Amino acid sequence: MTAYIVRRLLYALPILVGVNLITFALFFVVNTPDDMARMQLGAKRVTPEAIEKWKAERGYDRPLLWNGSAAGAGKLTDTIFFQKSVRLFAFDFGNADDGRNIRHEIVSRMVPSLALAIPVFLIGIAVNVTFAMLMAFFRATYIDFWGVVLAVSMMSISTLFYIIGGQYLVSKVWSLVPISGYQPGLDSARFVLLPVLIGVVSGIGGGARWYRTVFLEEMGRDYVRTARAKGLAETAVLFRHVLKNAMIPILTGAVVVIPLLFMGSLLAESFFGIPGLGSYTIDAIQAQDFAVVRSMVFLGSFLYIVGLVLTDISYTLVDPRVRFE
Amino acid sequence: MSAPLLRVGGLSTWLDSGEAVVRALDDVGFEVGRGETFAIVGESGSGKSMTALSLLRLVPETGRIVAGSVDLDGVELLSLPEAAMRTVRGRRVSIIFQEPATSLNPVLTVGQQIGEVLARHRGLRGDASRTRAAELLHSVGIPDAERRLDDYPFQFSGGMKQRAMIAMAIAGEPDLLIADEPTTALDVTIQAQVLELLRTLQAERGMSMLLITHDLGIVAQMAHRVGVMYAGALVEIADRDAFFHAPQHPYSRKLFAALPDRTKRGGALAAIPGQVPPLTAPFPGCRFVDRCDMAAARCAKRVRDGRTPGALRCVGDGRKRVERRLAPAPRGAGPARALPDPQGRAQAGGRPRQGR
Ligand SMILES: Nc1ncnc2c1ncn2[C@@H]1O[C@H](COP(=O)(O)OP(=O)(O)OP(=O)(O)O)[C@@H](O)[C@H]1O
Ligand code: SF4
Ligand SMILES: [Mg+2]
Repeated sequence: MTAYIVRRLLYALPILVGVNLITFALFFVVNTPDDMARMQLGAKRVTPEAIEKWKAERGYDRPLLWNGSAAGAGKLTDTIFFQKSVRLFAFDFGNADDGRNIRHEIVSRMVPSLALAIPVFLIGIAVNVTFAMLMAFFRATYIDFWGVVLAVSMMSISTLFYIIGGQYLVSKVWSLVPISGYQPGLDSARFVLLPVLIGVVSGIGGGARWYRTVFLEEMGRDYVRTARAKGLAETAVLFRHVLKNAMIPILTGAVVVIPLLFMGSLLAESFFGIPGLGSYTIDAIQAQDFAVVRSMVFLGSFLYIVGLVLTDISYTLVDPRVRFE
Repeated sequence: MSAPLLRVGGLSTWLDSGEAVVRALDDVGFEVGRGETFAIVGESGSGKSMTALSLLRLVPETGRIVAGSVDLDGVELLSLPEAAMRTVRGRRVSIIFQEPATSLNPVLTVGQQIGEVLARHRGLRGDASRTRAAELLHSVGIPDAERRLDDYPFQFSGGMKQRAMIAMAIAGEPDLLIADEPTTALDVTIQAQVLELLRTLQAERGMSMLLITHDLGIVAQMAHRVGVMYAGALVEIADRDAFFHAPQHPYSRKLFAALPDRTKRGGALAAIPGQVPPLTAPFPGCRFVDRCDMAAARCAKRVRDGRTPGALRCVGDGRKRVERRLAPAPRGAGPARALPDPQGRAQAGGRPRQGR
């Protein structure tokens, strides 16, 4: 078991290296430092001197991979690849354009992101599983039919609509919670209430529909017929036999996104003015702050890989067939 | 003789396959006496499993029982409310399925799955349930039963899974055990052991058994009476010995004629030329007419036989003519080869009697 986890972690290393190389290629080879400088400086002020100055300020004036003019190890380390990309491995993200340390920024912004993302995640699973089980229990009846219709309609509505509609109704018309903003500490509950609600609601359509398929697939299996042939009531069949099996794909499917919860939600955070990592990323994209965007891309990929490893581990915990191997 | 335990009559089950209605069972009728083993044989798709599932009212969701009667000891099962039916399933009638690998719940231990029946039908819980479950596992021949209760199905071999299924099925002490091809998925040597186990359990408990198989060797070895199923209908019902000596229906005769050589694999039904007709439309006359060597013009007309529900014509009023045409067959090359030995044991189809 431990050996298995260690092996999984080792498998993840090459992937991480690959991600790093791709990030490097995207941000420094495809889109060269000169391009970055030109984009940031705007069309008018682009003189070769301005570009050189911009690059020098940010340490982009080094060669990409090999610094022939530096001495000793500097030939390798005094390069963009080493200074900007390799350092990502140590979560050394450098500074943003406004001069602030990116890692420091990330750490302090994680809290509001999680305050929003964790409740959405947990409540979302509970609500979706309940809704899906209801549809599966009443499968092929009107309840199931209208449930699916509802789920599909909810799925087809844009998240933006939920956000704006929710803000209008709950904050503006009913004045129940602030329309946007954030305060640290206990006070944060007031501010995340509406975003959490909207996060859950906007996820119901897709989630419940997917879980319903999982439930129905499980209900068609032979062991369910066996359970019925024992004389068990349909609720016992559903809760004791089907739920336990269906939770394997549902939980392991959910585990993969757990690390990504740290990244926050791009849309909700921007619209609700929550100073988390999602809004940080959006702002950086708008301001064309490449250092921040690059860091967030790397962080996101890293967390995704962590999610995949956790998924594998969760299989071994939930499924006796894997656990005993 | 006392009344039979199970009396099935006019049972018709239809399935909605999407584009057409499949008449999976058409007017099926038979009886199973107390302590008797009644075997149903037939090709794949003839409706054997559907018969078993219909008795328990567990047909797939796309299906429904459109007509018939299932009388268990004087109680009409088809008109019972669902809640009452649940006291029949697992308690009075239980079933073993063909695929032990998929029929057990992968994430519950074997002990939990047996315990469920004990809790539901015998009111046993906790230690009492555990002790009883271990006894049951032991009685189906699983060594070290007490410890194996905590194993998950995947830790059992195929034969042991089927034994565990049997333990579950007898846990409610049923009057009727339905075994739907209980050994098809198992190795030949394991097959013999499982059959032997079923026979012993049946004798000890005086259970009735409805044994579904496509293996004439198993029929010869296990059954008191036999029903032959073809395209959703029981076309012949006979005592075992009579059946092996002189099968009546042309389809039954073909089954024997088509048996492979003794040296070839088991007594499984061999392919008969031609195809099972589609079950999507009612049959105006005999459903076997396309493949029957003895078919006469009258076969296409609907003439029902009074004795064998569902059977048409062959043993009906056209019987004499057909009989005459069939007369040489039992002594001919076909069936004679497949007859059981004088002890009535498993020589049919060349399966040597296995076990001790
Ligand atoms: N879920 C289903 N939906 C539609 N048709 C079905 C379904 N299950 C079975 N059938 C059809 O019902 C008929 C009877 O099937 P059944 O499973 O009873 O055959 P069987 O005699 O048990 O065959 P086998 O020896 O392969 O188990 C077949 O024509 C089959 O195609
Ligand atoms: S009724 Fe006719 S076609 Fe059908 S089995 Fe008898 S002889 Fe053959
Ligand atoms: Mg079958």
